[in-house]
Amino acid sequence: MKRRLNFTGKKKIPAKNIQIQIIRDNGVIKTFDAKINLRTMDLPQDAAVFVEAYYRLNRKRFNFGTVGTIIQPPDTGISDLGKTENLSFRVKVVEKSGKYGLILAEADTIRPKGETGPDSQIQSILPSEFGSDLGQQIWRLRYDSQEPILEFNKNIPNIRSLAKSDTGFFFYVYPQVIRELLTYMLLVEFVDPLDPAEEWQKNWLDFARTVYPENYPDQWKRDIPELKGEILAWIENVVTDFSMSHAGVWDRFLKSFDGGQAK
Amino acid sequence: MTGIRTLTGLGTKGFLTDLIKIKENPLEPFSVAKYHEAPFSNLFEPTIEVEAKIFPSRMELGFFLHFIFQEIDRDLLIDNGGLWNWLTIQFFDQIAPPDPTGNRKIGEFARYMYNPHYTRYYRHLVAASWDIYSKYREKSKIFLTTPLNVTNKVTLELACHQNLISNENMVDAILALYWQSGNDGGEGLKRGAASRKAPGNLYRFITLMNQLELTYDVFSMPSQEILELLPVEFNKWKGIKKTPLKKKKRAFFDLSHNRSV
Repeated sequence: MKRRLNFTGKKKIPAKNIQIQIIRDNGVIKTFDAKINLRTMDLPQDAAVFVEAYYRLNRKRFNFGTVGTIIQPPDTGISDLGKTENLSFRVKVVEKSGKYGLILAEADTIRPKGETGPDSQIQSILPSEFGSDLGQQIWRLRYDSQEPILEFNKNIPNIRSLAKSDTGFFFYVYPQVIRELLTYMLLVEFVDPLDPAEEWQKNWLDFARTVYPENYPDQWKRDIPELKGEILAWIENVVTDFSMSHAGVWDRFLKSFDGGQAK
Repeated sequence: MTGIRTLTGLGTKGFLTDLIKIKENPLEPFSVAKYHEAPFSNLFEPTIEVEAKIFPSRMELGFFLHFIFQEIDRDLLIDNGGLWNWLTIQFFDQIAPPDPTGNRKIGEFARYMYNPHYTRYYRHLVAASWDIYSKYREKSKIFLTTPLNVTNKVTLELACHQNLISNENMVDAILALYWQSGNDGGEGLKRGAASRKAPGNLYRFITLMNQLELTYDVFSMPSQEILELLPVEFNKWKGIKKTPLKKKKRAFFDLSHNRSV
């Protein structure tokens, strides 16, 4: 297991303490709202709180006051950053008394909470893009960015609305997305489930564990091929329970076939 | 004048095939004309006309692209591989120039074919020129003062560290340390800045900054404070001359380390 040294005692802000919601105008992302809760973290009241929105070379910082008085600035415009659909955010708490601004606490690679739709839980941990020409494919997972991106084919009319609210689309796409992503993480990238190196991996494993808490793959080692079967079985259980947990959506999906008679 | 276009999937495939052919046979002719029409490309919207132009360096290319795209939403440009690849074709004779015998030297494909991976996109000679120039304008000289077919060492080393290259104060610090302007108007990287053997070289700076970023809020530090944080090995680059060590006058019997005696 990797060991990380933390000489300055920098704290990690739990993801549950931060909620970032993007705000659209005519479908275009313009600003964001952030709710940050640092009350339980034992940080100096006068330490500065910053939120940064970023994508590649583009980074914009917003001053959210201090730990004692967190105030969202009047202007949280992010439309000038480019690729706003895939922005990530980080929150930093910085000491004010020292000359060089010691970082006291941090949370990185935060994804905005999903807006609306049948699966805001997935949307919040999986950035999606609607501008790709995928030929005759409906969706595709892309792994060439800092975190996986779910691409939808821009040539399909109303694809954004389908992805967010169509019950059939939900069952055709999301279970397979979860299956592919967990398989990719655990059997292609060999992410250690007990010590994921990156935030997005941790988010996905936390999500999967919430969906199916049993038999979490805590003994996974890439050099024991017999364990692959157990991993695959666990992934299948996650996918099954994820689908089962959306009974209401399933009923609506069935109704769409028989003119309203749910089976 | 030609309207800017974006390569289609077919055009991208054709361009890749052309690159492979040239790589295998540097004398292979390259035809731009077919990429100026469907089904290999579509017109970029809104329509922007460009003319054949010679750019002395990537800085001028970056300025030109920034100028023609300044009214366009960045969302339409970033990651628009079809656009960047078409522009590469448009300026191909400068991006992969033939030598006097007609041979073209093709390097890593990511230099010509846009790859959205965050550790690769900046290698694209056209897309990165626009991206870096549009963010740093005059300061981008440290990245872009090279001919169109060359990526300098600063870009190669720094651009894959997004935390560093997205920090303008850090770019200021790098300019202060490693950039020199001569009295004759010439300017460039200081000699030895990109040599791994020289103390306090650019690679050491990047390593050190990556470590400091974990502890300090480097983003909010003015470049002067970043320079202050650097250890003595960087003094040469800061213009601080080595002070000769004063010889300590020692008594014949020096008991300073043996006070109990």
